[in-house]
Amino acid sequence: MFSMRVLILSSLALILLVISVFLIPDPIAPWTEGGIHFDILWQFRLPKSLTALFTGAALAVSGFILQQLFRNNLAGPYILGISSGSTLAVAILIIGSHYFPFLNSSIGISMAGFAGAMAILLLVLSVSIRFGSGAVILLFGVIIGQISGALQGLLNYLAMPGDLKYFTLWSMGSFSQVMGRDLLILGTAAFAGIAWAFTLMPALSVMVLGDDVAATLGVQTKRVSLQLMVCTGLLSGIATAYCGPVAFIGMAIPNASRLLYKTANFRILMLVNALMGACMALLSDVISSLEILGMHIPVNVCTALLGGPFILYILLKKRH
Amino acid sequence: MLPLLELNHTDVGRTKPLISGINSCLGSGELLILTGKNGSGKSTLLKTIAGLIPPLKGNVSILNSPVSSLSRKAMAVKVAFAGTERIREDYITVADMVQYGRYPYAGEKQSEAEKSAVQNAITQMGIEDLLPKALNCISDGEWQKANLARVLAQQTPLILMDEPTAFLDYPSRIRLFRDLQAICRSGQKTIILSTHDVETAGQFGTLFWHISDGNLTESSVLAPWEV
Repeated sequence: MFSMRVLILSSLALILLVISVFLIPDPIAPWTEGGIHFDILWQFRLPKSLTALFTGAALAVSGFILQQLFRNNLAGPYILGISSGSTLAVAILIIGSHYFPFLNSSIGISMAGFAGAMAILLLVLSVSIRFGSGAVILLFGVIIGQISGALQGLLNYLAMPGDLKYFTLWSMGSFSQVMGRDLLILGTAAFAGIAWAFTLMPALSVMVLGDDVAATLGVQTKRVSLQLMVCTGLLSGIATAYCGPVAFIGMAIPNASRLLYKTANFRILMLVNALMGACMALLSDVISSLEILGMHIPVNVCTALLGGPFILYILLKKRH
Repeated sequence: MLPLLELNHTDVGRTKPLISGINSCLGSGELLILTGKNGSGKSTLLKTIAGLIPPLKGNVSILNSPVSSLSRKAMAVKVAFAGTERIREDYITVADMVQYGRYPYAGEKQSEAEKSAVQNAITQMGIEDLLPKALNCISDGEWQKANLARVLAQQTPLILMDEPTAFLDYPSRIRLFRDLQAICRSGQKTIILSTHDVETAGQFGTLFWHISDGNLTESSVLAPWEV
């Protein structure tokens, strides 16, 4: 039964991938040769769908790891301040370039986003080495998020109207800006991060019993926690850098996965998370590609409108 | 005979010593009852023996190797530890719980020895019926059985348990102590457990450690409980 449900999930991901590449917003056959449709298919739609796939998987896996690590089902890439770090760095780049023109030319948005994520991650790591990885880290992440939000507010106030709109659009999330070499970097990082996490899953699953018991079972709890945090930093940092702060996947999917696929085998649960995250991102991409009421709904609006009611439904059904 | 556990002039505590100058030497087959007031250092002592907290002074040795010199993996096949935390995850079954006890032996999976280690632990605790149940659907008594089965599957000569009787009713406490007694007698294992339930423990213990005013006293009968 269990493997059947995993099979259904994999097929769903594949179907959504096919729909988002070949069918939406209008069908283009894969055997189309030459012309504008050929270019749209291979230069625009395929990269966009693959970006959604990698980003969804990366965010869901990093959310899953964070929730298990902190044993808190509200955790996600946002809670450590990683997403806020990216967002602030991008805000500085886009809005600050009006005042400091050199910012505009030297580094791209994705590099700034990644650097921002890594800077916050280093800060979080140094705090966790000193104070352990308990509730202090969550509080620290939330406060970092607040400070970064305040600084963004200040930047918005100072921004030129054009820059402000550009930044606002970036912060709504998009899968359509990543292609060529960037797509290769995103895909490699997502794949490497997920593979690395895969090797750490048996240790993480024992840590459900608490750090003390896990340590007496032979888990090097401090080292494993540290590695997992770097891994989530990589996964969520690279995703945010390329696609903007995509909401809800990192928080909603791990909860949904545990409810729908009850298993103590974390390797399987982690892969289920990757698949479900990819599905949610692809579905959001399909919806945002459709013209609804004469407009395209941004990805972040889709993920929140999809993820919110879905997670509420599952939670309330479980309580019942 | 090789002493199982040895403490030499050991001071125990996180920053300041809670218990100082512990000297003791334990063999196998003992059911040792650790008593003392709240905050007297029972948990800290157990965690020090488990290698989770380094001793402030002196040393702790298991089978003649100092705990400080052993890796986590090497410790995991010598000492098993059950803390006070009650796990209630709905996606973990009792069968998964017992399997966690084999984590130190990862890589030896699917061998006959592996299967029999798990199977023996399950039979010994009589929890065959509980195996498919999730951890949020079992009683506190059943949880302690599952927890003990996990510890047995770990196949260590020394077992440490921090207040295993805390949430149990009287019949469950008696049953737990009977199980523990049987484990010590048949398996040649030594169990150290902390408890406030001196009345029940007094009937089953073979050795008693009592902590008061930062000192540990050892005796073969339960120390009178000063109020």
